[in-house]
Amino acid sequence: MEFVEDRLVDARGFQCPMPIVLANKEMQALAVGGILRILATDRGAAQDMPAWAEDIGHVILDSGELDGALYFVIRKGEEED
Amino acid sequence: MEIQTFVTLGLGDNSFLVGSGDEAVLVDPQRDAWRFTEHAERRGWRIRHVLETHVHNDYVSGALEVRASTGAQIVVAAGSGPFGFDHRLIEPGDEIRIGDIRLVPRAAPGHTFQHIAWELWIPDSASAPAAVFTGGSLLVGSVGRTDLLGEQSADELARAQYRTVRELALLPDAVQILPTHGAGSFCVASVPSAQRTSTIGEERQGNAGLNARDEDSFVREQTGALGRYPAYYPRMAPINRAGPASLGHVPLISQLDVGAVERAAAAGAWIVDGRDRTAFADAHIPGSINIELNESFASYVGWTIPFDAPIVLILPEPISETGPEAAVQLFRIGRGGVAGQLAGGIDAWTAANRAIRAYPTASMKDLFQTVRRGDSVAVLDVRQPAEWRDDGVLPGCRTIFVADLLARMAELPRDQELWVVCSSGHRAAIATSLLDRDDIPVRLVARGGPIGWVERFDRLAAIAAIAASPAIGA
Repeated sequence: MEFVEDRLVDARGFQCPMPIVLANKEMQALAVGGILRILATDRGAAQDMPAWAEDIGHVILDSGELDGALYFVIRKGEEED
Repeated sequence: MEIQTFVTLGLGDNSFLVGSGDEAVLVDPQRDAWRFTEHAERRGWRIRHVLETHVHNDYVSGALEVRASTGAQIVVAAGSGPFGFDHRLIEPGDEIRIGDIRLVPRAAPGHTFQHIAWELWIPDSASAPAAVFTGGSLLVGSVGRTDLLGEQSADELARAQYRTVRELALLPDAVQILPTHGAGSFCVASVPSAQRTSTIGEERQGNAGLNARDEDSFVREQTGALGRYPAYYPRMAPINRAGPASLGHVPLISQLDVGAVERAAAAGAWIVDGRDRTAFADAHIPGSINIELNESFASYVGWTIPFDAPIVLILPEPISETGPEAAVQLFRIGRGGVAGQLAGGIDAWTAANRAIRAYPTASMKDLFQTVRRGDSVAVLDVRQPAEWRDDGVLPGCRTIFVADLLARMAELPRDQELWVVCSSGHRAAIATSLLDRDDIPVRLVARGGPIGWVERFDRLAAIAAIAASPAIGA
């Protein structure tokens, strides 16, 4: 399924922790339900991005690899308490 | 005329091969230069010159490797030496010609005092260069930092950088900007774009460094919020000036057996384990340090372990890939002293019944639930100071950047388990292993970090303050 993002974060070339730092910053500007697409070449992001996002309460709608970069499509979730 | 861009992930740097006719020049090559020379060969280009924009602070230059295999002349800025190898000094007013193009140096001080930018002039462009190789001056969405030569020259260099980038911005919009430092590099003054190249027009629109109100504002903005850079940097310029040994290939890492690793460790070698952080937490050689083998492996080896100390590597499978990856990264920053790697990895150690240590792991969710339950917990945040400032810290936690930990061990409690956090778990793993090496009781937060969690913890702390019981603190 194709997801159209509200915001795109190009974190290619950046290393840990920048993909998460940049994703968090853009996520703050989104309303709950908003969709963020992140591109990253940091190999650790394959584990770390979903781990960070899901623990906070966001939902990974899609992820994979395209043209040498990882991509994550994340929907902003409600803050759990 | 053709420009081939090579990106070295992990250092965040670009190198450029410019071909015209059957000749080429190479700008700011990395030490494992064979990927450049092989590309030139495939294209039928003879590399005549290696052009350096500055004496590099973040990596060992591949200029000598390129010369060894092609006979290329190494061209450096007058005044940037002395150099321990044959070279040509270049000044504004000189130029380099290959094929039907010209490479013209222009003074571009700021990132270093003698930093130069290289203008590329092609036959069709009569009044302006087609492109400029801007090195560490004007970057895509940023500028090069000016504090690498010491605090005492940072201000003067920042003012020089201000003038340099503004002069570059006078070039026509269409002129291509081809910088050396970019996303992933610690040589940047602020977070750059993910794009590797740009144009003057795009930079004038979107680069805050070009849109500072005045020189004082620029200096404040470009020096006021700098991140920390790896501790190995001061070793690079001396190596680059002396001229690193050209080896013709990345040195192989020797295979060591368990006994050899034990002897090396007893003689002072550091054991660096590149495995995933949870695998390391579950079982590791006592005293070993967990620096995961991702693109920034060598940066953190060079940051947290004394540069001259011998090291032994424990690498994850498949060794046929991880061995060469670790080797080339360390080679790029001139980090020798690799005594070898343990043949068979951690499994060989356990099969020989040698002592194993372990420490527990947790997630940020676990930490949150622990604090919400009302249990007191000690937390250590090992991110950079700029991150504590920009993204917040958990109330009551200690803050020591991972690279400062070895010098500040005495500050840490030994009577309570210390939970260690960063943003993802990567730097926390390095820190946790350093603490474990010193027998400090630890728990690694292996998933996530304070980023995105601080408000929730702040709310708990507010509740705890009302209830007069501590949330985080030790």
